[in-house]
Amino acid sequence: MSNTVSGRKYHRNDSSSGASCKVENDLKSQGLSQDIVDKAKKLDQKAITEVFEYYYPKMYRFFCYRARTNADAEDLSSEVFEKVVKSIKRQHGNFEAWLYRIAKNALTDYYRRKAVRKEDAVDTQILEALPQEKEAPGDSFTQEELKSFIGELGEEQQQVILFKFIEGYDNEKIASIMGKSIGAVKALQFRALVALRGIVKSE
Amino acid sequence: MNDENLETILDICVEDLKRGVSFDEVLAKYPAHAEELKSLLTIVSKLESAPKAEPSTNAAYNALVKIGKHLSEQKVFKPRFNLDWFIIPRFAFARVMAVILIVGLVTWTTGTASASALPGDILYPFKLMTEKVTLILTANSEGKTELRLTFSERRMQELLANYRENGVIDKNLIKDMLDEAKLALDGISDLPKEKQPLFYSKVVHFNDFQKDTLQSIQPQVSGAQKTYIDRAIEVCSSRGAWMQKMMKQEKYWPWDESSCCGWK
Repeated sequence: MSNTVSGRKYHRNDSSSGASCKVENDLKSQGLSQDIVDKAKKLDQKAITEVFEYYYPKMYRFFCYRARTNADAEDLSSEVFEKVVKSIKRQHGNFEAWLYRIAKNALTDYYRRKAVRKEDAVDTQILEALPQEKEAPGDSFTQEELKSFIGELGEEQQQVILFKFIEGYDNEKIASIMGKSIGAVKALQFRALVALRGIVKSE
Repeated sequence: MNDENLETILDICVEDLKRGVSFDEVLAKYPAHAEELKSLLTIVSKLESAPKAEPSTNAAYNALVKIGKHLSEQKVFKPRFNLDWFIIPRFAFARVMAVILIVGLVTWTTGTASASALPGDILYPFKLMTEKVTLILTANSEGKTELRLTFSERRMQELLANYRENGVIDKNLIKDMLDEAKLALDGISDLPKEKQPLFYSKVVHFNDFQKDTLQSIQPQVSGAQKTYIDRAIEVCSSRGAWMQKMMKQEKYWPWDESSCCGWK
C-alpha cells in the first residue's frame, strides 16, 4: 500500500514489528532549505511532504519520551502536522521555532486532556514495549531508560537534552528554537546533565 | 572555578566529543574538574549512543493520509475565505439583522409608550396603527371579535380619561367606542354556531357595562356634550334590547344598522 501525496511513494509497512520510517530522501542530513519551506507555505504538496518527511521523526522523538504511550506520541505528531497544514500559510519567522511551539502546545494540551502529570508519563507500569527499539550497546541507555530518566526532568531540561543529544542540534539552533541565549542553553544543559546524573545514580 | 565556567567547560568537552576527540583527551584538558566532568560526559556519551526512537511506518503513513485530506479540503473550500463570498455576505446579513433589531426595538418601545396615549397626543396615531396591525395579524374570527371588544373598551377609557383631564366629551371617541362594539357584534355571525351564544352574552354584558359607565358621567355633563352622552346611552339601550331578544329567540341574522346603531 502506498500513498502518493507528493508524487513520491511512501510505502506502508503492514508488519509493524521492528519497522521504522523509511523516508526516501537525503534531507535528514542536510536540513530543509528555506525554499522548500516557502513552497510549503504556498501549500505545494511536494514541499509539504518533504517538510513532513524531515520533521515527522523529530516530532515523534519530541513526544515519545514524554507521552504515556508510543501510540500517543504518534497521534501527537500527526496532530502537529495537521495544525501545520492548516496554518502554514500564515507562518512568519523561524520555522523550526514555530513548529516546536506547536508541538509544545500540543503536549500541554495532551497533559491537560489526559490529566496526566509529568510523573505519570514515566510510570513504568504503563511503559509499553517499543516496537522500533533497537538493541542498545552496553554503554548506552535503552529506550525505556531514556523515557524514564528524561521524564523526570523539568520541561526545559527535557527539551535541551532532546535537542542537543538526541537530535544533535548545536547551541545556536537550540537557542533560536527555545527563544533563549546561547549562555542560557549552556546553563540549562549543565543543570539537565547534573540532574540526569542524579536520576541515573538513584536508579 | 564557578558553575558558570564549568557550564562552558562542559559545553566545550561535549563539542570535542562530537568532533571525535577521545574521552581521555577531553578529560586531560581539565584535570581539576576531571572527576566531575567524567560523570557528566559519561551521561552524554550514553545519551548520544542510545538508539534513536523512530515512528512506525504505519503511523507515518496514516499521518500523511490525514495531511493529504486536510490539503485537499483547504483547496476545495478555498472560496470560503474569499472576500466576495465570505465577508461581504456576512456584512449584508449583519446589516439586515441590525435593521430588524432597530425596527423591532423602536416598535416595541413606541408601542409600550403609546399604550396610554390620548387623542391629541403625538403617539396616539401610532396606538391606532398598532391596533390595526394587530387586528390584521389576528387570523381567527374569535380573536378578531375579542380584539374589537378590547378596542371598544379602550375608546371608553380614553373618553373617561379625556373628560377627567380636559372636561370635554369627545364625540369621535364615543362614535369609535360604539362602532368597535358593533363590529364585534357583526363578527359573531362569522363564528361557529356553538360559540355564538357565548359571544352574544359577552357583548351584552359589555354593552350594559358601557351604558352604566356613560350613565355615571351623564349627570356631570351639560349642554351639547350631554346630548352626545344621551344619544350613546340610547344606542346602548336599543342594542341591548335587541341582543336580549336575539338570545331568547336564538335567531342569528345580520345586524340592522339603521334601527340599532344609528350613531352619526
